[in-house]
Amino acid sequence: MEACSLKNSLKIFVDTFHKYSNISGNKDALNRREMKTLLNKEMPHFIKNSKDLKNVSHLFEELDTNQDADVDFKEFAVMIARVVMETHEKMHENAPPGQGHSHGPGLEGPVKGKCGQ
Amino acid sequence: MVTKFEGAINCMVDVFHKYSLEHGHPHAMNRKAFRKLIETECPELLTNPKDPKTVETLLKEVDSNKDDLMNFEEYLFMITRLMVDAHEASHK
Repeated sequence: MEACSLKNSLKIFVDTFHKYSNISGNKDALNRREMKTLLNKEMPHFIKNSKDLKNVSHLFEELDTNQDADVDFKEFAVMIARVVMETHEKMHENAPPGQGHSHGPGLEGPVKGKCGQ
Repeated sequence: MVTKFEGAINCMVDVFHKYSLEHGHPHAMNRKAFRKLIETECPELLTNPKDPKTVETLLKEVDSNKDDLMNFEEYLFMITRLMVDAHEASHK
């Protein structure tokens, strides 16, 4: 299992994007079908609990800010930032009560895998 | 069990807290914590021969509300930029 580091995560985001963007059409952008496959295969736990990721069509339209019917990497990076924000909020909603700063599980729900797993 | 991709997203939260919890407010990183984050997680930013940065200039670039701290939203802005840079580097 990979350790949690900023660099490792950046690499995973770029590699995963290319894994699906390469399937068809523009090799450096995700079309609707590729986006849907990526979400279902790579974020199966998150999509269950995320408001943002539930409606793929709506999400796609929101991300495709230049309206070229493809989500390029810049638009994809915005989605990742939004999901990081949402999983952090969930970690606070699910945090055990008590003093100090603590987190519960994020968007994956009650059974939390360790970072990088 | 989360997927590798989901783990990488949660890891982005963990990285922020790893440094922010050491000093001051848990959701705002002061200069000292920010320095440690940069020096540990991406020291290349300080030694890039084409565009060398200091910790001070990097913090200024992300600190949009100018309070000398990097809060969680500003951190998201920073990692979005780092993602875009990493993607560009992957095509070189």
